[in-house]
Amino acid sequence: MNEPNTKPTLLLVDDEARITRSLKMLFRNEFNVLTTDNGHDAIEIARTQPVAVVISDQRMPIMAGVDVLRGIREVSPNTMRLLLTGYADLAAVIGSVNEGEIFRFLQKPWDTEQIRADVRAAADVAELSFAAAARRNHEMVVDEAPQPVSRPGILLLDQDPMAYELVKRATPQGNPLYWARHLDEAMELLSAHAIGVLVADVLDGQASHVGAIKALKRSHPQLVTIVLTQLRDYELLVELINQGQVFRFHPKPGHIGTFTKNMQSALDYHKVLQTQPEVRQRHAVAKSDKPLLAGLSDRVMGYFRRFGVSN
Amino acid sequence: MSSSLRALLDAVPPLPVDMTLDAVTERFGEGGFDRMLSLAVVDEDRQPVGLISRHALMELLLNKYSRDLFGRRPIRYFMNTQPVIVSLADSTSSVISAVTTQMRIPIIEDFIFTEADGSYAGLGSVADVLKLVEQRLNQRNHALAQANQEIKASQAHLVQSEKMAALGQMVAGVAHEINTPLGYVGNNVQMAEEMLGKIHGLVAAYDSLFENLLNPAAEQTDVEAQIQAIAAMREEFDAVSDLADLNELFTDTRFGLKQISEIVLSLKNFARVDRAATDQVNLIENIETALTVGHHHLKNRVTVEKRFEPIPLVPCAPSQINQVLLNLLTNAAQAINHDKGRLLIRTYTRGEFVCISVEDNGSGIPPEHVSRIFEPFYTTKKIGEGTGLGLSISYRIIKDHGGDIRLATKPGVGTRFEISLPIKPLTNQPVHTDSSSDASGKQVADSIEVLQTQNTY
Repeated sequence: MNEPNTKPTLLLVDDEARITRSLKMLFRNEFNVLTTDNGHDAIEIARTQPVAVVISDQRMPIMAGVDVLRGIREVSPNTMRLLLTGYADLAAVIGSVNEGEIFRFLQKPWDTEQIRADVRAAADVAELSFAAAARRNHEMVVDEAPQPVSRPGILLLDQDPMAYELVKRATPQGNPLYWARHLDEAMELLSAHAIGVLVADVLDGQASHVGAIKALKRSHPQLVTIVLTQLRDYELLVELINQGQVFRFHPKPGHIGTFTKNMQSALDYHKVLQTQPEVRQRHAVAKSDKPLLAGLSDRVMGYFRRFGVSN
Repeated sequence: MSSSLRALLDAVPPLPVDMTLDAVTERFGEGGFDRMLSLAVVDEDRQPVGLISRHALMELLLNKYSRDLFGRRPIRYFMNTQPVIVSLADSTSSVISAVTTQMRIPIIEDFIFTEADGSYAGLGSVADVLKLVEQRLNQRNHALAQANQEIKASQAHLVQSEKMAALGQMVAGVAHEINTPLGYVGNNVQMAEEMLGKIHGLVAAYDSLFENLLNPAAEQTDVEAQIQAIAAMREEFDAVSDLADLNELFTDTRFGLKQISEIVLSLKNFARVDRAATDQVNLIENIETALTVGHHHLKNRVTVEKRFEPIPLVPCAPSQINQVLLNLLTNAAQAINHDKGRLLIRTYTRGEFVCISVEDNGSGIPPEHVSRIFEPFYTTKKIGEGTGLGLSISYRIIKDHGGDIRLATKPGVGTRFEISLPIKPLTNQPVHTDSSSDASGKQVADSIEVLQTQNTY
């Protein structure tokens, strides 16, 4: 895509010019920075030229950030998408994942070092994605050997029988479904079977699965996670996006139609992750300042250590 | 059967239907049933067939010779054949209602209790029934008083939670307003710090070069090395143009800080915790404060036009009036579902009142909702958007100030709310404030036209 000496493009979308001015100055040495206050222009820019990374504000008059990012995902799927918002809007958090499939959810006021690290990480991934896409285009995609006969399994981690019914109905024929009531069981199933999609509730009784979901994404980068939950906790959901790279949030009790769609997207995406390893980088998780494995049993911790997940 | 009925029952032996008038008179003379006004008469199967009261007997005996004439005749010729009969199997309330509706005035008789099978059980006194009624009424009054108290308590609780909900919404909005400037101010300061670090290094390098240039003993190679180092630094870092950028950064930063302090100041004004609850207040200041606090509802979507005629100070609780104004602004912003939103805010005096009018060009309110708009919990908003208490609380606040709140609306054209507050302090005489009865139909009858003409501004 880019000449070796050309800087990657960073697109900033915010209706407050002082924000784009400030961020532009922060990134202008490393990036070719473009700015706009308007979502339509942003999508048009991403359509007409390679944009490695886009950072969009959420609350804007003409088009909301989630819609901007969804539009950019459609015209330029390899562009890494980050949402930057100053307002705790739960719908925006859920929409940014389910529709915008974002890489990071950033909050105003941001930490300068953190945003630098996130944008650099995003740009690295974008470079890989764009290069792989160009290669595939060039080689005209020689379809490799037919897909392996065994179809990826689906693992439900939740005690709720209603959730099991929902997942069972949404699971396509041929994909095995495993039901783990506890984290220990989930670990055993994960090491015994080829699992592609994890469906988990964030809270199971008193136990929180947040740490486990984050650790699992680290140890199994090709695992696609759907969080099925009643929980409406803004901070927790943001944490799950940035550190767990959750693929979809689905409200509980789930609607079977949308859930089946989510399940299909998750399975499709798992296939992409398997066949195009560079895509996995798109879901690199952010480091957590909280101990990931606190409160897990020794057995479970041993399991994660084998995969090199610690702290 | 209920125990309260058993308590009313007095199992006085009845009179057989063939007993003579003489014998009955003697029985009354014997006494032993002093609480009773009458005795029951039963047939061979103990079924009650009538009642003879002391009163009726006296009247009979007051006639001369009546005892001589009728003394031997059976009582059935003299008894009341239609006494009040109730069953012990009935409910207490149906017994009470049967006795109280059928009893005759003056009360000269008792009523008859039967067992479930209809046989005579005893007598009951009307006075006892009336006592029971009174007792029950007292109980009911007590329960009602308690329920009323509970309703009042939960109403206060609801008003409080509406306040908290409004406050939460406001805080979230204000947090957004502050987080944006905070974002770039923080970023700018961080960048300025980094830039100053580089400038410091550069100045230090220039400084030591300068000293070496002045020093006749300096080695030429040292000076050359220093020049090389400075050249490398300049390559990487353009101090002159970066310092120019820094200027711009500081302009933005100062702007952001000013914005943050304005928001904080208006929050402080909004709460007015540091001022007396009732004060001489300039309402125009309150409008400005509410506009700042509610800015996030309006910005980018709604043009605000202010037409403020000078108004005198008004005695009121400013924080309460702010709550009302913010409520009106929020409603107006939510009613505007297009991007050509206009909000006209006016102040004027009318007679002894100061008026604030808030007029939007939003969706308007359909007639079927207008009459209920000040009712508690009446809302057309989605769940989570409003509790339906905002306007009812505003109504109460304005009424408690001795003022009035009215509206004119036309679907598709807009809505105008008008608050009026008395210029003179309220006298001690309590203002009539019954929200349920007079809350409906508070329309500014002639203002739809006003609204229409003003909408063409």
